[in-house]
Amino acid sequence: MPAMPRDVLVAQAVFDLMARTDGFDVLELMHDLTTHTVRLVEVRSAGVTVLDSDGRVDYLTASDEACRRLEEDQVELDEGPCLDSTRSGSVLGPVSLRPPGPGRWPRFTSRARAAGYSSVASVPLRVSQGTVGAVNLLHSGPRSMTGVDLQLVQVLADTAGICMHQRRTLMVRNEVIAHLETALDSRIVIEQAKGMLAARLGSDVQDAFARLRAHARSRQLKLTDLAHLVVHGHIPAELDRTL
Amino acid sequence: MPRDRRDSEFGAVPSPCDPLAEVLARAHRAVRSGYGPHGALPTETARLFGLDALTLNALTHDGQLELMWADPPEGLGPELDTLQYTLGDGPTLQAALEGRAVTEPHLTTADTARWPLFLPAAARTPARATVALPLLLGGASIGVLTGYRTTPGLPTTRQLDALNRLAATLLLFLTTALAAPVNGPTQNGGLRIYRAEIHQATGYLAAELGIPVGQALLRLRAHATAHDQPLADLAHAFLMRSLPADTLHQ
Repeated sequence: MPAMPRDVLVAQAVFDLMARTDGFDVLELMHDLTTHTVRLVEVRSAGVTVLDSDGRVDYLTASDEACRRLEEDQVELDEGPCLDSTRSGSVLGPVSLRPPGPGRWPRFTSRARAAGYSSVASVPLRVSQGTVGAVNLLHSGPRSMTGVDLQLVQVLADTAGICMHQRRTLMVRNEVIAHLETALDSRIVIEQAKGMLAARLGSDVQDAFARLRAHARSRQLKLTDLAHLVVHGHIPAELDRTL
Repeated sequence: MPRDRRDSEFGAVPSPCDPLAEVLARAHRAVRSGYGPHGALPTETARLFGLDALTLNALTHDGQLELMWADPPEGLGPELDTLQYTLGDGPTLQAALEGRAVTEPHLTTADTARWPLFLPAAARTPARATVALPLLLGGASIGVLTGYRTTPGLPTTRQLDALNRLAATLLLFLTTALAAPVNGPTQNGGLRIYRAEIHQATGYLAAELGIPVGQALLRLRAHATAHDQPLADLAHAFLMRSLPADTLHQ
């Protein structure tokens, strides 16, 4: 069968998730996973939550702020598809959120509905046999997610999982410890930078984040490093200028 | 990562013959179990790090530093801390303000311009060298770990590495303390650290009000507590511009 343009996009996404330099930022990898997911399966939002075994968040990111809030809500409410998929290690859904909706996540469902979502699905994020988190797909609109969509997302998630595993294997023990301590730090500094840039530009945080990312990519800067610069008041001129 | 594996990574450091590693591992476990520095760190901790005194300060919402712990509990540490508080300059204050580590291996010969008030006053104490590490939540200084020596020079590289690890553990303690509600059982003032909007609002408010990020975070939390409002809701209201930033000035 001849190659289709979409095949190229899928292969590029897998390559992008795989081809990371040493010392890459896991949070960025997770964010790219959500970006590729949204683009390839045409869902409205995708989010990733990686938990430690005490249920504390190691990484949490999403393709947009509404989805991110729902990822956080799940941790806070201790209910939702992402948690179920993490705990069971298996694919969940797609599940319709329309009334009467799934009875097992009453509070999550009402918040997701209020944010305009009508269906949800989750695939586990597996790192060397163990499940460390899940990718959440949130959708609204007439088209519903299919089993094939979820298969594709599982391949993307597994690719990111292999990348994380290789990184963990490469790091010596001390680096693993240091990394655990900085994981939270890098997440927080990015959020602070988003807020600060939003204030400077008079934009919303989503806009501010898009600019941060675009700038980091075009300059081949680590997003965390750029965020530190911004938070310490060194905002690159190109970022400060209104487009 | 399973908890036991993670803990063993902290605990499995060659322990009985390495008191420094042992203290760090114990402190980390103690803080994770909810203990503060008084319960997590033995007396004579400072000596292990090549220091004669150690202090832990936490930032308050009005931008002041508050002494939380010192080893030894009396003497040089608290004395130099009070000096900085009274005079308004010094290594602890600089580390908090700039959000980066500050070292001065020769307090008696350092350029007075560095700390015009602190240096002459410190020269009348036994202190001869200092190192101050900010405790950073992202870009927000929420505390400082400061060490003093009565002999010139800095601790060894290994001791300084360990001091950085201790700072990371004490940051965890301060964060846990911030996550606890200030008064009563309501969750309102508690910093739920995974909530991105709290940190977004912190950056937003720091830029709008022209204050340090750490202070913005603590003011946000103080306001939520005072008005019995969930912190995440308050953060959201600022970000949506439905509440003007200078509300926090009042």
